[in-house]
Amino acid sequence: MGKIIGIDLGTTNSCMAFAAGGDPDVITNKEGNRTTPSIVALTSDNKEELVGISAKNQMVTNPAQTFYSIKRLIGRRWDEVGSEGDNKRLPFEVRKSKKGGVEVKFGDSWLAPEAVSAKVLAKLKSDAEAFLGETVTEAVITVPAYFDDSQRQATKNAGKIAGLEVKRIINEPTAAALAYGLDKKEDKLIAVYDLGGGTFDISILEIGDGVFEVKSTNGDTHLGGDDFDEAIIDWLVDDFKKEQNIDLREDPAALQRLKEAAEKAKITLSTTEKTEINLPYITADANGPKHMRKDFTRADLERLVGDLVAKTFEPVKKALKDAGVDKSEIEDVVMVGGMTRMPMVTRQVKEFFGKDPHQGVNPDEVVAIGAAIQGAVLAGDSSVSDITLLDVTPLTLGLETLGGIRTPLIERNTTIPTEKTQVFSTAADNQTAVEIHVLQGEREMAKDNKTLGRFMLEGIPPAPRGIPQVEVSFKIDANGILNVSARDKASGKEQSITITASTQLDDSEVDALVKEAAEKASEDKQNKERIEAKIEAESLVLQLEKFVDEMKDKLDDADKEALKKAADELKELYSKDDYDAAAVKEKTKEVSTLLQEKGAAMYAKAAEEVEKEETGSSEEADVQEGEVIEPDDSSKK
Amino acid sequence: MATDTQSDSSNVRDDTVTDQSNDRISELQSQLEQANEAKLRALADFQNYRKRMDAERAAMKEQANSMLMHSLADIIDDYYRSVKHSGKDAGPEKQLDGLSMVFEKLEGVLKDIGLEVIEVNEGDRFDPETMEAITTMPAHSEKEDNTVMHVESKGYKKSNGTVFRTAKVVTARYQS
Repeated sequence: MGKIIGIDLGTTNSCMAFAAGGDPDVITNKEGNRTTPSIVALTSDNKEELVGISAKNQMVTNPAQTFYSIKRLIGRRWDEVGSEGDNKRLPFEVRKSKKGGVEVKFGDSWLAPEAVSAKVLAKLKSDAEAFLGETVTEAVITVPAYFDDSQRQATKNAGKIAGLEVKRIINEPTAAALAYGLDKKEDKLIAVYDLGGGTFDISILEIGDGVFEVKSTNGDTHLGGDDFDEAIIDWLVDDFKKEQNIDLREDPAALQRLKEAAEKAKITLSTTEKTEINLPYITADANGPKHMRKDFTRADLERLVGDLVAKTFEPVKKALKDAGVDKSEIEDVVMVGGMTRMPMVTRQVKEFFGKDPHQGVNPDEVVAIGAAIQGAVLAGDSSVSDITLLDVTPLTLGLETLGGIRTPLIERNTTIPTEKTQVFSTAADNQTAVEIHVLQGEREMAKDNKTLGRFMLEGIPPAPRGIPQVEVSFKIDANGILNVSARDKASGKEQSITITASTQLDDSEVDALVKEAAEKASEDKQNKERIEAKIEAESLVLQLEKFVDEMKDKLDDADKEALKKAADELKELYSKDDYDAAAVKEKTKEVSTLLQEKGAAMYAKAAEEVEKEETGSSEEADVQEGEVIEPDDSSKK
Repeated sequence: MATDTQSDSSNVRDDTVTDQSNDRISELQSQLEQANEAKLRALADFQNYRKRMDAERAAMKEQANSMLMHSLADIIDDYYRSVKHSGKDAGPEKQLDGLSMVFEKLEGVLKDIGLEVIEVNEGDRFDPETMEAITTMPAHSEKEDNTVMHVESKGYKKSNGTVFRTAKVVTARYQS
């Protein structure tokens, strides 16, 4: 069975998504964009059909044959469309069909709205096939919750005309709730606040046992982001007129630039407090070019669009009243549509419902994502229904290594089940036991993290430091149970511990710990580097002493003395309580270079002697290739 | 007795069948558990892989941005120079020359990052794939219909041929 894609067939833009391996993602169209304008055009010579961005690009040149907002017409009766005035707002010809429905003049013929929507769906299908590299024949399409049977049937027919078997038509708010996995939880009431480019919808849903019931819907079919942009443009135009006495509305090129700048500023002010509208050479008069430069703050924006945001709460109140529920009974609020990124919108929704709305999923894509999840469930991909059960590790899991350093094994936010194995070694010669100290947290030093457990691995055969290989494995199963085991590779001795509460932390606890780690990150890093500098120096001194001892017959006294002196100087540096890490590092480097020089000189001397010996012998040396054992992890247990 | 014996043997057979079935059930249950565990593991691995890829992508983006920032900083220096020298001894022609050079350099940077100017000239046929009509003006003849009258801003395409930004144009519209 192929993939069942999810399609959010929007009034202004459409979006499609699919679920792979239980993880839904948006499908980009042929032009590389994540959304596609729901616009179809027939070129003036009636020769070519354009769909999406190219249809939008030629809109002003060909208004009578550019079809947009078709969703306002699909499956509707002529008298409904006429009474709401939608037919008069549209620049293309619309008339009553023989059956009492609506049809639009498309070239020389008349088409039902679903036939026009089908052209958008056909492009989405073709782009999805190019993206996925396989044929797509099935889809789940979303519609507004208020769509009646006839509108749903017409949408389904549009899919059929486009060559898609519509496996299910689902409500847009339901899809949004699915994207947040809200179907997985207990029975509850949720509100879906959807403020898009051109329309506002509010839906009150009841969820229970994975079944969604629409309790009520309301909205404003002509309120959206475009109205917000218009309010900004009006303000800029009026201001410019006052200052320069030039009406930019009469200059289409200037107006186009203003529209882009207004939208950009609106988006910027969602994340910053202040921006600047900077449009050099916006227009010109007899006195020369004119520029527009204006500071624009979030407060200015909120003053301009405050009424528009307030306007959304009337339908919200009506929807709650129709559903017969009080706003305090709403347990989850889901935000849909690009305009819900605006802090003022989120703030007022939060104030109204008294709780933080869900915002994690891109509000432009959340409906398509939900549709894709539904599609994957219908295709029998059980991984999708399980996916929200796949937890993540809330904090990093690791163990204590030499010098009290925390060495991470499983980073925070890793999806479980997972496992990680790393080989450690001993810190001292003839060390026969190692302690495995299991830690949870984000801090660099072991002492600053939470101890989850500790155990000893004993019976390691005596050997020089760094030689034993102790393999430590961290395994977390799907239930968050952590099993830590340590095994000495040489003796096969093994010990383990099972920790059950590695993922049971509430969000505030996790946030506080992560915040603390971020605040102390620089201090922790310095501490860690300081200790590492000492460990490296100690290790070098041991190496040097071993070298001197093993080569005592081959090194001359001057070399031995030089090496010993260097080692003593280094020891003296790091032995002080308040040792200077930079000085230790510098000296370590110096001693390391000296040791290498002496080693190289000794090898050169040895090679000379071998050469002398070989001159008297014709036998070929029997060279055996040696195996170089890569050093283990630099962290030594 | 015969009946009893038969019954006994059938009980024995039943017990054997039950034992075999139970063994088989246990075996299948264990297989199912293993398969389920493997599936969850594969899914978790996939999600972790995606997280890793996202992190790598973010790092690559950061690196690409740094390269672009270096090039732009260079151009901003040139621009400051041109502002500094404007209105001095250099005549308008020299200043224009300088500005043209800065502009060429900027176009070079865009080319380096894979952006190319979409060549659009007045009189070209309007192409909705690469151009966006911001308004129309009356055409003088039918032949002029749907052609570019004026280029308001340049368009750019990426090296893979996809349009990064359409050219904003004013088109001619013929009404008989």
